[in-house]
Amino acid sequence: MAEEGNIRNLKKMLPFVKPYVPRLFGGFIITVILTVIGMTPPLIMKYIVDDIVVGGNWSMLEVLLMISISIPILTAGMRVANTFTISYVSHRLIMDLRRTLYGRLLKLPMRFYDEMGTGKVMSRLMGDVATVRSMVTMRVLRIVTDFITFWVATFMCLALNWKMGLLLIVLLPLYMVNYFGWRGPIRESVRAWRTKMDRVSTGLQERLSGVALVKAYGREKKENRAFTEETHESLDQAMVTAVYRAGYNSGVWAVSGLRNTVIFCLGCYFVIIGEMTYGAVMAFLSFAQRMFQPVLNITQMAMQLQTMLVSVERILEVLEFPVDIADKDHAQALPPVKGHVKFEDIHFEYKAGEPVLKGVNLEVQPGQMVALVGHTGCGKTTLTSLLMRYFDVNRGAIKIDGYDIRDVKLRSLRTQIGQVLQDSVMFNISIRDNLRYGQPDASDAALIEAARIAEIHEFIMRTPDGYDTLLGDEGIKLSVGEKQRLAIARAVLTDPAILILDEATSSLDSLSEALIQKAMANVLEGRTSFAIAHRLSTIVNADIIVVMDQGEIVETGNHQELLEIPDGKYRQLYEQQFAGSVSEDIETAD
Amino acid sequence: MDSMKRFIKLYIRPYWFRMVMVMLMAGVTSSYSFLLGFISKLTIDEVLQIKPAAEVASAAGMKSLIKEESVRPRDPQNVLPHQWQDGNIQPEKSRTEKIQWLWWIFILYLIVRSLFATINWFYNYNISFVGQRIVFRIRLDLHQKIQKLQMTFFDRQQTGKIMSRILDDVGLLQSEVTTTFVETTRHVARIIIGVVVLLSIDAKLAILALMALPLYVLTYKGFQRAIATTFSRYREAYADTYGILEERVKGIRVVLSFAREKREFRLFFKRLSGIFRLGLKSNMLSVGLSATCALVSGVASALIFYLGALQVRGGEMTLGDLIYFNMSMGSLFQPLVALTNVNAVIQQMVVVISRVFEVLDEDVRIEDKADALSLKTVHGRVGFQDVSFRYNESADYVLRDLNFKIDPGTSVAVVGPSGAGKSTLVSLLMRLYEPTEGRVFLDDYNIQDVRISSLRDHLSMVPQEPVLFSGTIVDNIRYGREGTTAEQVMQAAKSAELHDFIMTLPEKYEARVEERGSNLSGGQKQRLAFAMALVTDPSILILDDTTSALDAKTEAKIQVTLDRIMEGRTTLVITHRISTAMRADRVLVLDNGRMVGWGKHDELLEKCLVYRRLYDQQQKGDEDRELFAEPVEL
Repeated sequence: MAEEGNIRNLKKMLPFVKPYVPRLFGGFIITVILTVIGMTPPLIMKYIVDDIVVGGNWSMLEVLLMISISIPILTAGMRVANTFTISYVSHRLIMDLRRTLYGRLLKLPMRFYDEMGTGKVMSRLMGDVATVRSMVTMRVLRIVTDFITFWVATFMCLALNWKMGLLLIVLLPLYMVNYFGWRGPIRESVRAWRTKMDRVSTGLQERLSGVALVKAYGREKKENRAFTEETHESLDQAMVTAVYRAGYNSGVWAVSGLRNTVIFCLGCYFVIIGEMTYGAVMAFLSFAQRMFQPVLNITQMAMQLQTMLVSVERILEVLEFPVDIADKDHAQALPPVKGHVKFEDIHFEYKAGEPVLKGVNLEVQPGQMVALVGHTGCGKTTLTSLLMRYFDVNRGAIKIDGYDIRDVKLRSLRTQIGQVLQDSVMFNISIRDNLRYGQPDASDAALIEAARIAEIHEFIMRTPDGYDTLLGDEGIKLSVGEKQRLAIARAVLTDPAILILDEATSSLDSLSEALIQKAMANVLEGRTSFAIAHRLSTIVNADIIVVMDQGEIVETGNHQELLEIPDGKYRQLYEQQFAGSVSEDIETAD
Repeated sequence: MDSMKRFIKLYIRPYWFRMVMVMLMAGVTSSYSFLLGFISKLTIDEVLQIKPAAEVASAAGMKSLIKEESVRPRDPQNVLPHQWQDGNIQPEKSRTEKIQWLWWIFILYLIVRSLFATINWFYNYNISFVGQRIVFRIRLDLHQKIQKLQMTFFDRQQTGKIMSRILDDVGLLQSEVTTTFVETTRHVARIIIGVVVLLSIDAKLAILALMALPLYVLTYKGFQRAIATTFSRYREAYADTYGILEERVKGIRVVLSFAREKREFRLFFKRLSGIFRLGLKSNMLSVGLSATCALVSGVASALIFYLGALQVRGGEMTLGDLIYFNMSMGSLFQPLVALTNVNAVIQQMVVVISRVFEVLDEDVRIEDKADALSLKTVHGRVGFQDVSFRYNESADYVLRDLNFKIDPGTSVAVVGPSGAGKSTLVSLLMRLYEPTEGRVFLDDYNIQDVRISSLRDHLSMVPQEPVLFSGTIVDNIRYGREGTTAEQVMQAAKSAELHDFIMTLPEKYEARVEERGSNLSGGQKQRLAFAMALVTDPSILILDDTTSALDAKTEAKIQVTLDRIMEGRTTLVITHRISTAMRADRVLVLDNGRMVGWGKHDELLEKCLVYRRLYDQQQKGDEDRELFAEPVEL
């Protein structure tokens, strides 16, 4: 049952709310008091009119003055206290939730990120958390206020004059009818308007990003026409919405106008025939005014609750995603690595029934360089991901210097393996901080040394602030080649014993290409390295070339050895893609 | 403020009649609450004739205060009449008379309410009407202008910024402008009427009451700034955290590979605590403001009411007047707050408006001359004469003293290191930019004398990254020239060797292309871009490094297509590959904006140093060609 699921989900949020229950309870009490005090002014007014002015009990006037003055003072203080409590709880709740979520995120396996994607993760951490917060604190207290207000107002109205009170209850549905009658059309119309605005903005986006093309083809007039049309459609829709909104507002006016008119005049009639005092009429009017709105608020709550439940569910998706990669209880730190790596009968699948690696065996001696080659989907990248322990193998074991990587501390494993990704992410911080990302206390000398090795030092010196130049949105933009060399420098700085390189497939201009080649050659020295290789020079220089096909290693050996295998997979690949391109004029990446 | 005046003149004036009407309606509606108060007063004083009593024994009063519920209701008819006997000026109406009068009040009430409901409806409708139209016209103007602007503008502005100007900023105008304009009128009218009403009821009380108002405004102002700064700091902190988080999630592999989880967690926690503090502070300031305001108005109202009650006791004021006064005073506070906000809103508006005008005032530097020529047919001769170019006066020259001629039907490869000015050169030919010095010729016409549309009809460019639009395949191919026949479209698709692929699709030419062509492969996109370029059957074709984004196999296939397409057309090929350059009839070598080589491949190898160097570099790089690239099917 969905209901049960919802309740179960809500229960899971309880631990986050629990530490603040006393505060929330305090807030609840103050809210109740505040609401009750908020209901007194009409009664005071009534007393003044009926008993003091008309009744002539003038000596009480000063007392009433004191009461009327003390009410705003008292409420002001209580409101401040109340807001403090609620804000404190709600902001703390947000912080706790986000902190927990983020902590969880950092522990989650790569599988999670592959499945979820940045956008979804972000909306869970930021948007959904905010939704839950506003629901738990503000809205809950709002219900309390609305509930009390509605019942007290209804009671007071009936007590002041039950006939008029009944009349009021008859009028209440009218108010609801107006609201629910207009809600559908307004919502539809707003949705239609949004769709139309989306179309305007998509069209605009396309035209702007393709502006050179628009101009090249002399399409300006046509584009103007299209834009006019699209905008005009959204305008028309906006006007429809405006008419509906105006209709709803008029409805509210009509109903509340009718209510006030009838009550006022009827009340005055009762005054004339002596059934009511004028003060009572005034009080009645005030209470009647407070009776209607809470009902609407409460009906809206149902909808908001639904939104919150969705958010809770999405937050739980993150919180309950299994962490299957974690340190074992008695995991030891991996001692400084020499660089012996052994893959023993590795089986792995991302999805059950779709094996990606089917029994891979490979032994690499310290300092050797391995080139992994093969078509997309053959399992090259997966193999390196397993070495980093982004995933755990389904069968078999990966051993570094004889240690099964599942038995050592994750941190000690990953800090000793450097990784240069194909699409190297740099953060929007200074170059220095980016390079030091893995080694925060690296000295400047070490920093420059690493940059030199990666052939990026000269580039850095040419940037406006050298090593302090900011990257990204507010700083400089990097080319693919520059990013890659920075990534190499970043990896080198941690002095890893094992290095994983994922060569870029995209084309670079020949200068950056040459620089990267040089950088790579510098870096690989003395390290065990795995390269997911796309370039011949990398492959030829490798100590071991591992040719993979459909999750299996089909050939291993060096360039010469592999070429000598007749009809070998490597030979095929080589002839098909490399040898051919020499004789013909097919230019590939450069 | 100038921009404000211009804005009013340009965009509000066309709707002045509606605007005036709306403002009038705003003025009228502002009297609503006062009218209601007046009706109450009338009812109390004239119909119900409720009069204050003289002092009575306080003991009874005390009792009634304590057990109010049980004593009430005291029938006023029993208590009041004899009290009114003494010092009564007006004759007491009889019960039936009163009820008759009450009917009139009822009708009056209904009339006032329905009248105002109607006015309110028109008011709401017209505000939307004017607001939406204004926004509509500004958007059209902006769009039209942007279409006219030269490329230099787009180099300076990011797409996102332009978008936000056209959509968000202007949308803001709609909500703010009209409402601000009109609501301000309403508030001012309300305050004026309110003050007059208060003074007319009781001048002394009114002056006292008005003294409370500045206090109210002061409180408001006092908090306002602190709230604004705290809130903007909160938003900044939030956006920062958001940005950082997004980066980390995107770069999670980096975070994990360096085992930085602990540090990242600490950093994030610090950020969260910052948000927590600012959020709390901002809430507290808001509640501080509203609580203080409520306090001021509450205490002031109570005091004034007390003083009023004393007046009533002394017979200087009727009960109806006191209640009328109280109601009127209450409805004065709100417009005051709104008015203190007006300034901020206007400031914001001015910013938006001047941004809009900034775009609208941008010079259109590339325009048709009055007597611009239309070219019917073009042979395809291209000439550059002493052409230099820089993006603006403070920038360095991108191109310097270019001189060359291209014969019709020949192909020229433009080569050079990145940043040499290759793309700028073809942009000049397309007249996306105007040369700073020198002239560009097409056949024997200076392209500045030719109508832009006519020039671009004869030129087609295939961009580096194919730009596709969401729509059908045929829409995309037709993009270059509307009104082409199905035959022509198919011909273009055939030339681009895309036809066969299209025929395999269930909807053939009517198949949809998703945003940015995400449902097509790289090669297909490229071919679609070719078809787009070919549908106009241009005399001159420009290929901007067209094949660099493709993998080897696709490129080889496309190259064959290209060779066929280039036949009989003047072709400019921008490339950074020597192998591509070798195939062209001529090679133009650019370095640092200067032409350092012009001739055939073999000649250049010998006499042009830059070309030689490029060649050597790539020979070496040849060994590093993409091996084992992913096979891509077209």
